[in-house]
Amino acid sequence: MLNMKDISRIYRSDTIQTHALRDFNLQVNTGEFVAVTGPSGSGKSTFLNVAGLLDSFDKGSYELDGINIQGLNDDELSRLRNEKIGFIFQNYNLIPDFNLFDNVDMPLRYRGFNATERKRRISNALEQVGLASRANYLPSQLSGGQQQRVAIARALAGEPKILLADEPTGNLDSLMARQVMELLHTLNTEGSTIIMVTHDPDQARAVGRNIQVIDGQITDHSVYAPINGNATINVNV
Amino acid sequence: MEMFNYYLKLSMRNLVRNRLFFILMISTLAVGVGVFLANIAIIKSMSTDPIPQKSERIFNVTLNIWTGNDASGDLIEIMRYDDAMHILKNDIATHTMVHYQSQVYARELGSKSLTRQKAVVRATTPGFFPLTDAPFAFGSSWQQDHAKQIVIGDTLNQKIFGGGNNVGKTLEIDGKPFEIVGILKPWKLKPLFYHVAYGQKFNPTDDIFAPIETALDNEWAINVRNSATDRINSVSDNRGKNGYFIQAFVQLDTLAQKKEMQQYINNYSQQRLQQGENLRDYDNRLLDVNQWLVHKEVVDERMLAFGIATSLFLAVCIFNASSLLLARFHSSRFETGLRRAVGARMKDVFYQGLVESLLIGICCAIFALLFGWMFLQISINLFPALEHTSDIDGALILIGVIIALTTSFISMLYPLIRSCRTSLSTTLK
Amino acid sequence: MNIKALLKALRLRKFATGLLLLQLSLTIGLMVNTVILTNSAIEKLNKPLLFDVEQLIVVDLIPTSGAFRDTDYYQSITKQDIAKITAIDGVISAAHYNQVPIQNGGWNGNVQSADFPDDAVLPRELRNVPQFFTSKIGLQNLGVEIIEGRALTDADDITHDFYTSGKRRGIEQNVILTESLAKAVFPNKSAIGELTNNGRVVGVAKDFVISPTFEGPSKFYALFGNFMYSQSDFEQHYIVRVQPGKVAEVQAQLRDTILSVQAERDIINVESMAKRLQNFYRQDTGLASLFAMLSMLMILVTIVSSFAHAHFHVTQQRKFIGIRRALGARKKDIMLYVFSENWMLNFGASLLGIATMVGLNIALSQVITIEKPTILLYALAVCVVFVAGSLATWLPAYKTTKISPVIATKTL
Repeated sequence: MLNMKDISRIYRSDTIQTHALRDFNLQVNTGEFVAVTGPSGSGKSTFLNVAGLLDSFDKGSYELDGINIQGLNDDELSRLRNEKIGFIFQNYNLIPDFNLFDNVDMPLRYRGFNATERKRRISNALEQVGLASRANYLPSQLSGGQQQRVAIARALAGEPKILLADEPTGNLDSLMARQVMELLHTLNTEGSTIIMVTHDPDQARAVGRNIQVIDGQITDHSVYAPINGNATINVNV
Repeated sequence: MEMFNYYLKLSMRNLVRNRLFFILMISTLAVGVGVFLANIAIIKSMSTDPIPQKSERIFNVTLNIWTGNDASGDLIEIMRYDDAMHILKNDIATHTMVHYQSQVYARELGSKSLTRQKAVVRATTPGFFPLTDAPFAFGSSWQQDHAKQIVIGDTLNQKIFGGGNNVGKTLEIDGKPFEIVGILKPWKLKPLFYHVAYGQKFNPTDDIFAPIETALDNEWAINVRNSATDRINSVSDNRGKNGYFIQAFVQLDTLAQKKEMQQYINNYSQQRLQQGENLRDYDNRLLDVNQWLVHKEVVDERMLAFGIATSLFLAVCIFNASSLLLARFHSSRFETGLRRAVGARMKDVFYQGLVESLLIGICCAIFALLFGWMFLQISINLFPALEHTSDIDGALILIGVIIALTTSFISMLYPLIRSCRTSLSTTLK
Repeated sequence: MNIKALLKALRLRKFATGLLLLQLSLTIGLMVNTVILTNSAIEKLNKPLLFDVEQLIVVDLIPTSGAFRDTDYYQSITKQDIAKITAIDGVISAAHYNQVPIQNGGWNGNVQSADFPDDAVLPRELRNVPQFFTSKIGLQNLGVEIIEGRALTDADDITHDFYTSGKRRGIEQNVILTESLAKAVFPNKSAIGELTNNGRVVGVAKDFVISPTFEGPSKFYALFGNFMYSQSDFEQHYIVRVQPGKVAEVQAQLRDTILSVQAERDIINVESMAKRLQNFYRQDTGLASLFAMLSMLMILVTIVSSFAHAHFHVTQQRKFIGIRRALGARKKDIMLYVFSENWMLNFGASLLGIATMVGLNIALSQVITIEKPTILLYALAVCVVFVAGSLATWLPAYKTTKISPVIATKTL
């Protein structure tokens, strides 16, 4: 699904060069749920930006769903982002004066679906996150957890190959965080490939595969031991 | 089309959400465009081609003749009766006409009302009508040089008769009867190319067209410029004397005709020189309508000066709008980044901006037309000379809309490019 | 105040700053030129005309009936008109004129001494001298004194001879020249008793302005004769001299008074001489007003953009301002910080403004006559822009003081 080989990303300012990623190698297969951990400034965000085609890289090669990213122009990259990738951000990034429907609608607009198809997908996505009845609500009328679920619905609506989540529960209290995590696990069991950046070792431990990034390189592939030795998660949404 | 609607909806939402901002921006832009538009309206109508279908074929005839003892100075477009008669005699031009302007007071003969209507008279020759394409509603021109017959314009026809076909009726002028043989349709000619000098350039077309001989016979005064190097005792006394008051125009359809005509008037000057008259330091002049209007400086230089100022003001308004929009895009870069992240291409962002600038442009156009009309009224108030010059017509409204759209696009361009170029990964944090 | 930091902040937004600089400098340039135009219009209006403008009313009229082709009839009506007008309460005197002072060309002719050689070239300004035909009180009626020789008398009236066939050719009229004209035609001697191509000079009148747009002494040139011109299709003019303060009162009665003598006339215009002067310069004052309107609008736009600029600057720099606050800057310091940005912009704009001011002045001078800018006007314009900008900046600056230092600790 995702194959990065020797990826380097260097930020240059007048005086210094920062290697945000250096010779970064990672392969993620279809259906995997990968947690990325690491200290602040380790390069995990850069990794996610490069993986999500939001940022370019200086060296190496990157294949997404069998497509080589190298040399693609902005149109092609945008198309890939739109069709293959779903983003989930720490601060949800919902548009405050769009209702849920319009928020979820946004990526579909750029896909050129007709109105019926968009409507079907939006309803399905909202259904999946359990907010179908609130399609006309504004984000501000929802709790943080609900808002993040809207963001997830937005990511899902395009039926992407891979979900990229950047600290999806970072702004949530523990109860809401749990609900969001349960949702992600359900999606994973239903077949979505997910890469999630997180600070929380418990969350990391709960997923299939862990990687740790330090100084722009993967240092540890070990899988955290499942909590209580039980990898099955009950989903209550 | 669906995307267009979507963007339109987004833009609309944007406008409503940032009301104060857009009101400030659009109104300053609209004021700029409005002032500019009012100025264009004035300059445009001052510089319109009054007779586009044949303006390059109609020529003013200005002769190099002078009977004064000092022949320095530019040529004057007025000529003597004898000169005019010589021009009339030519068999080169397709049409020839000579004229002078007078003014009389007229009423219907036998009417109960004693009120007389002031009427501007064009004392001219039958060639006037085909040359100027004067549109006849009824009747036609007079046939005899000294006929006591006249053609009247629509305005006078309305004033005296309340309109309709009144060919055959008689007007009383100075106690004498004149038969109406033709009536013109409403006729606009701006500028009045056949008489642009001496403050007449934006006057309406004339009320009465009369045979020049008849006008002289009846001593109808020379209303505008009249120069003489002889003592002249009455209007009709001008025949054969050195009184300059007649203007001449010819229609020359081919280059050959023009050459021949030039030769014709050159010969005439030479002939006059041999008879002991003076020549000025310039050649006989045949200027076509547009050259003639430029030569007579029909566009008021003050309006050009104001034009410079209004263009600067428009620039200021564009600068202002542009820097406001830059700030706006700056504050909306989060949303732009998000859209890019979920798959909007740069094109899409640009297109969305374009739709927004279109919407702004339309709002701006509406206000600009409104302001433009207002400023035009103010200008006319402050500047009475403009009164008959300018009117807002379809073409002008179109120009207004185009300027408004263009300016809002220009204002939007740099901010939009900046917003398209914003790096994606930073804006979403 | 840290100018370096400010400059840096401005440089970060070079485009917006550049636009504002241009905008402010154009405003300064336009304002200076507006004031120049306005000043010269006012100056023209206030130039003394050297006759009693304030006490005079002008009537323009023209007969509408063929009866006036009979010159005797015409003259009798004119005489009755004048008599009736003179009888109105508040009127000092009234006279008929073939033309009225404050004009742009009218009834002109060449004036030269009778022995002027045929082959010599007459100076241009003597070829188009306004010739006034009025009654014997024509000059006195305007408030113009005779400074040499005598005024015109009944004996000088040529009307009868002019309209008697056969006599017109033999007329040698007596005329009065204005002082400047007399000097121009007879440079080295007294004009009194001399013969011109237009008659014999019997008096010299004090100079007064007839053609205000003419340069030099030619604006005073005029020749006066005693003659009642009675050509029915030419406009005729009455000038009525009234007691101070009676202008409006008399003006209101003139139309009816004249029509009551004979109704077949078109009273084209009744206006005070002061109004006529105003109308004469209407194009100039009109242009000045248009420019003034544009300047006002420009100041308004300046206010809007100064406001917006400061406002967005403040929003953008919330965090830095918060940090400054957290580090101990007082509200005053923050206000000063925001204001000083506006002042720096104004300073830059005032330098650029010199260029736009001169540039615009040169551009305008290509199409109209306009005087050169002065330092005082420039300083004035800079001041106005400065004050307008500061006022507009005040609200956003005040808002910054509301930014809590806590903001510094938040990530944005």
